[in-house]
Amino acid sequence: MYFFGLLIFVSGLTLIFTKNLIYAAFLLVLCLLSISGFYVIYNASFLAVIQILIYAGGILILLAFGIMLTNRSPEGKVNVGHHLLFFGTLVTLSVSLIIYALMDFPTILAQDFYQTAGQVREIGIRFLTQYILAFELIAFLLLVVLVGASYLGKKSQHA
Amino acid sequence: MLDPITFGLMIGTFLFCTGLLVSVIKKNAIFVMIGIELMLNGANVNLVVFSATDHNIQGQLMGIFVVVLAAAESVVALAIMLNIFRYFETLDLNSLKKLKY
Repeated sequence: MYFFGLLIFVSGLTLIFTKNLIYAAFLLVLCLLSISGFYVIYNASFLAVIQILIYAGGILILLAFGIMLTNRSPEGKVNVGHHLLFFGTLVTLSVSLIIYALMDFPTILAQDFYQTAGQVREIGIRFLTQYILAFELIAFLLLVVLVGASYLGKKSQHA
Repeated sequence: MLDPITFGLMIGTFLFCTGLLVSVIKKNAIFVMIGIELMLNGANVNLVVFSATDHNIQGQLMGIFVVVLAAAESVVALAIMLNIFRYFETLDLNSLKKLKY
């Protein structure tokens, strides 16, 4: 647990300071994989598998395509700098302080984890009974996103 | 040592704040999207940590929905970014000033 936490910490901090987009994508891979290891420890193995499949398999390939297709510019240099440094640091520090103040430590007790076997079965049953409306809405949303992305991705008439 | 619940909540907070910082201070639009992904993952870590002490695995179910929504969001965002790049030839957020063309 502390190992994965350390990995998440290091890759997150490096992600703030890096200026290379490719490095950033691979640091994101490292971060997401260690988050999925974290999920396994916290008794959510199905979500860990989903995380590896969708994030490391899908979103990262998509990000790599996006970087490769948009990386070139007329001067041959990619514009990745920082701006709003002071303001951004201020906002982030204040948000983290607010979260720290909202965490009422005495109410969060050290509890035992429930080791549940047959989790996938439970998740499937719940998806098709209790959360059927949300499940169907997600399916519809995916259809809309598919159509919308293919419409946006085609060569537009204006440009 | 810290107990697992507090440690997990700390990791979730760290991920959320990192994502916020990245998406505010970076100039490139793809970096901003990476920051948004980190924020969504921070929220997801929080859900999973609270779901670990719950007999009903509601946090995990919400986590699956969050993952699907993040995938959909990134697909549409990348398609929009490709169109922007095709027109403006850059993804520098400071130089995208026209809203209509």
